[in-house]
Amino acid sequence: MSYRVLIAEDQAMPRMVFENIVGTSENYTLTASVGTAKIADVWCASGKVDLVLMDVVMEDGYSGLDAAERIKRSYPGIKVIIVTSMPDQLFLERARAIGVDSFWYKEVQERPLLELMDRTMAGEHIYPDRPPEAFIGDATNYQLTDREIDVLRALAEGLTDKEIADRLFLSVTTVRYHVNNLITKTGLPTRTSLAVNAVRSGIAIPGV
Amino acid sequence: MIKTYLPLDSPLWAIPLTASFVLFMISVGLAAFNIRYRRKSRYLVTAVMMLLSYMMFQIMVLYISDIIVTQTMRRFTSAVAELSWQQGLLMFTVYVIADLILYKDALDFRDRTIVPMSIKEAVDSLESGLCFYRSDGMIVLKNRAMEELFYKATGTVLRTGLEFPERLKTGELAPGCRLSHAGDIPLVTLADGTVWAGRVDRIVIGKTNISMLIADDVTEVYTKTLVLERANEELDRLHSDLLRINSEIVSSTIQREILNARLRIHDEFGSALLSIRKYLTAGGTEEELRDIEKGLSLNISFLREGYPAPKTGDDYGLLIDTGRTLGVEVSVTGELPEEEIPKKVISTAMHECLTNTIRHAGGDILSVSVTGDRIITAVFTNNGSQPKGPVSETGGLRSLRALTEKAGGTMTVETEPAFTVTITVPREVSYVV
Repeated sequence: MSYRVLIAEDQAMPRMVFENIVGTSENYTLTASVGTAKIADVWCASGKVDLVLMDVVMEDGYSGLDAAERIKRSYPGIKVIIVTSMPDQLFLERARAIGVDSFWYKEVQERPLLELMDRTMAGEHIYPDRPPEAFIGDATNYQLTDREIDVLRALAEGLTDKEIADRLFLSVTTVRYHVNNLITKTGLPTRTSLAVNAVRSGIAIPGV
Repeated sequence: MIKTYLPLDSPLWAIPLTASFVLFMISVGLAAFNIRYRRKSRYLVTAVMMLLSYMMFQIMVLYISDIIVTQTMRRFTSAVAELSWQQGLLMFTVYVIADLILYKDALDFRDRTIVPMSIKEAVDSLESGLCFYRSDGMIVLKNRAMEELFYKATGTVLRTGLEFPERLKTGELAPGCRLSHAGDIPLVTLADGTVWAGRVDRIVIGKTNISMLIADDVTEVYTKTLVLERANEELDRLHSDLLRINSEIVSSTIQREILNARLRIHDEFGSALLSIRKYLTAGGTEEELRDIEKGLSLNISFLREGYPAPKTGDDYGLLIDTGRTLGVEVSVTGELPEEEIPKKVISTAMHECLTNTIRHAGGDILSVSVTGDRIITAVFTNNGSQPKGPVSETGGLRSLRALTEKAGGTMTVETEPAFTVTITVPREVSYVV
């Protein structure tokens, strides 16, 4: 029996790689390859999909994690593998919370995607222990605390200290303390440079 | 003629004594009432009452004196005349001291007790403007700040309490003054730059309804609010700049990802060329040749520009194309809205109904009828099978309803005669969904 695969990936290069992988395996056939996560659930409604390979950050701004959440809620039988190159820790956490079956980093291939797909279809949930290492200024994401990454993400959204404090249930003083720590650790000069580099490095992507 | 007198020990004396005492007390009471209510006639009334009481007293004394002389041959007043001069001096001194004490007490009372004048003095010292008036506009009390404010704001003198609230409604103010509102509160900006906030409260005193007009100087708060608003606008601008920069960074990150992939392919390309060279110089099997060819053609296709990207553009087009691919024709009559918010609502509804048509109804046509100009009405129905029971609004339908209502629209779901979703949404929505 061959599993039917839907690929949702906006970039041509990785999409072709995935199509190639699916095409070369006898266990899988390609149902469709779409450039946005928006319509992934429409394909799932057709009953022609057993497995979805889903990117997270798409150019049209629609989050692959949102699409994965819709699919897992409406079609729990369909397996979903998140494929991303962004080392944002939150992606991993949200994927687990949604009930995504497996998670694969595009650029740090601990194991081949095909093996991950086989094991996922066999009922396993495979997640990397942690995101790949990425630099922000002089520091790596491994050197930042979870709280600092939360603050970094909020900074990248352009929130003020007061808004960050309200969202994270902290005092404004604590938020400033974290921001100062971030500046010290990364060696970046300003809050704006922190915000810009947070997204550039993929460590904290807002709105996903 | 010999007068007949009532004997001194007769109990009948109680009648004239009681009567005169009662009359005296009534007089004192009337005088006190007139003084308490500050009637203009208070001095006249008091004087008349005192005169009448004194005359009554004199008549009684003379009458009793007469009786005493007749019956005892001794004068009533002789007892006073028989006092020694020392006793007389003592009595005089006691009288003067008692008067002085009472005078001092009266002065203290005046200083310690609130009288109408002290209220006027107190309200005049307030910085806020105050004016109390009856329902017919008659002013009961106003302070200096209110008089000055009214004069500056209108160029006229405050004569009736109803005038200021009226002018705050009509905005009829002196040149250089401006009326604005902070919520329901009227704000008057005077020519000197100060800003005043006015309000009217109603209070009941006794059985009289009194309106209380209060005007507060809010210049400082007003100025600071303006500064804060400007700062917030600046902050919003920075925020949207940051969001834009971020989306550009996401895009540049994606570009970098592509570049990295190309570099990897470039390296692989190099190694493929080396393999060809090796094959050409040293030879090899057919299978090796096929592998080299496969690798090369894959790499070339990766590197080729203009690789067709799947459609991601317009939401409607994307859904219509996807429906067609999956065997459902989306048939649209009328014009689908292109304004951002109605488009978001209608395309989300189309998405939901397309999914339902494919998943539950098994139909092959999704009809969308769009009508209306200012309020857009879109009716979605399909030719598939009817739902068996009532449709529970969970997941997609529930989020669709939330989205529609947030955009100021409505959503109705009918199952008879066919499953139909009707969405109405205003074309212009002033807030972001």
